[in-house]
Order: sequence, then structure tokens, then C-alpha cells
Amino acid sequence: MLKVYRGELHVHSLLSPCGQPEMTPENVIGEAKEKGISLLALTDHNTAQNVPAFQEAGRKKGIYVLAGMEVETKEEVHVVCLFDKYEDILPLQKIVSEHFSGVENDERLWGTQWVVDERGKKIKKIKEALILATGLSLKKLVNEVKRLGGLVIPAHIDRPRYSLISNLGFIPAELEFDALEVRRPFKARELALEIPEINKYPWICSSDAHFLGQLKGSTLFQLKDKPSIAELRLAFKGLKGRKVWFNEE
Amino acid sequence: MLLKDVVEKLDLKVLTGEELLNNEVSGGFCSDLLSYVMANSQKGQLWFTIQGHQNIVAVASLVELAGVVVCDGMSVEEETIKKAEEQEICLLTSDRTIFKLAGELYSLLKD
Repeated sequence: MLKVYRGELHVHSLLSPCGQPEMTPENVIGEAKEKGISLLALTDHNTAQNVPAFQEAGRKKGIYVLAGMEVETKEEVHVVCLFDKYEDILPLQKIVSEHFSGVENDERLWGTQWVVDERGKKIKKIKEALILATGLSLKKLVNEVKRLGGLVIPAHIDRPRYSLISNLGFIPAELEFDALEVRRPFKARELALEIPEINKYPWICSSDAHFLGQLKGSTLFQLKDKPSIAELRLAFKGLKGRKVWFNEE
Repeated sequence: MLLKDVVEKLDLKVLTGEELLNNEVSGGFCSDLLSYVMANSQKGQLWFTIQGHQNIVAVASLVELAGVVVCDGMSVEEETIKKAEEQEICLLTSDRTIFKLAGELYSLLKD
């Protein structure tokens, strides 16, 4: 049966150095529940290590949590990469880890990086500076995620930094993105006047939440049965009754 | 050359770090890719960039740069200024291009 899910596909936990300490699994899932969000993707910077805790916390409250990561490429472009299960994203985690900058996190400058369990209990700190660019090129990242069966969505393309448009200035035609993420649709529309290729892709509108109050759930997905990468792929293509759209402010 | 002399000769506007102007400038560095600056710039250099977001402060702090010049009239975010004050980083601005500013600094340091 086709069903509509309120989605938020770009969320940081307290594992991202810039993610606030309040972004624990219970808090985020609780806030999502209150706001009617039924599909969430955890997308920390260059790591997926809090995915198991969030998937467990989500399962208890009936919220689907996708295994995600916001990878920073060597061009300093942020890309949201999505998979179904934690096991599915581990090969990407391995590739990303092999391309870390080698710089250790400086908590004074960037903040703490906590891996937690589903109740928010701190398990360990990640040593590498997750906030920095990896050595992966955009092309290599896109190809690897595709090979591994994930979805590739360039993040906040309307942001003046760390985005595909701000850093490259165009959309490379040879790369297969599944969708583009915008923060402010009116900004993205302005950009699309100059760069019409932006209109060739489906858009999602995400909050890139770093604290609880930022969670919004603007994007709606019509999917069959329960959410999955395969269902999202159909929705992005608008096939078999699946579709994606978002609410304007 | 002292940072205060560079500031005067290049006509830079000081946003933060007045107290750091007596520090020595050993050279200049130009790039807008933060990872590249972090890997290749050296302590004491003055960094010319168009980036105005807060991560430039982290880079300047880690490398111990003499200061950061946000060029070409690009805007500097409030958060960046706050961070620079906290981390005691000298933040400067100019309406002129990186090319011109770096060229002038090069001439000054060569003499």
C-alpha cells in the first residue's frame, strides 16, 4: 500500500564535532516523533558510527532511520550518502577512513566527537578530525557509493560554502546523483536560473540539523509499504506511484 | 616585517586581534581550499582568502598563521569574528583582490 512519510534526510548527532551534545538518539528520535517525522537519516560528518544507536532508538519509536553519512570530498563539497542498514554503509566507512586527512580532532576548535549507545551513553571518542575534507574526489565518492548500492545526494546546494555549486560552480554531467538537497527552495530556484541542470534532478529539502530545534521534516515521500533505499530511488524517479515533494515555508 | 606595518602598507581593515599586530609576518599564502592551507601553509604567514566562514579561524589557529585577510570585499560572518576573538586570531579584510594584495606583500617582503 502506498503511504506518505514525512522525511528528514540530513541530521547530525553529537558525533559530529559541530553537532550539539543534545543530539543523542533518544532526544533526536523524540523530537522527530513530536514533529511527525517518520523517516530520518543520520548523516554525521565522514562517519556512520552512531547509526546503530539511532536505528535502535528509532525502531523502538516506530521511526525508520537510514544509515547515512555526510562525506566531505577533496573539493570540500558535502555529499549525503544513504544506505539501508549499518552493515551496508560499512564498506563506505572503510573507504572514507582510508582517506582521512591524518589530522586529529582539536576539541577546543571544533568540538567533541562521541560515539554513543541508543540511550546516549558515551562509548568512545573518535580521534580523527571528522570536520575536515577527505582525500576522496567527488567522482570517486559518487562511483563508490553507486557501486555499493547507496544513494548520492549533494548537500545544501544553495549554501555559499561546502556545496557542489559554491565550490564547483556547475553540475558535472558525467556523475549520477539521485537527487539534490536544498535548504531554502527559493535560493535554489534562483541558482537554477543560471544553472538549469539543477532542474534535471529531483530536490529534497533538508534541515541539516545540528541541534534539536532545527529538525523540520519538510520533505514528503510517497512509498509502498516501508521506506528503503529501493523505495526512495523509485520516488526520486517518480515511478510506480512513488513520489517526493516538499512543503514550502 | 611586523603585521602592523603590513596592515598599514596594504591598507587592511582590522576586525579582530589588535593586540597581535606586533607579531612578525614571515610570508604570505594564497588558497581558498582549507584542507590545502592546513597542509601547506606555515606558521607566521599571512593568509589571503575569499572564505569568510568560521572554519578559517580553526585553520589559522592550528597552523599559527600571523593572520587571515578576507579579500575582495567578501563578507565575514559574525560567528567567524566571535571565534577569532576567542582564539586570538588576527582577522583582516580588504576590498582588493587576492592577486593585488599578495603581489604587494611579496614586494614588501622581497625588499
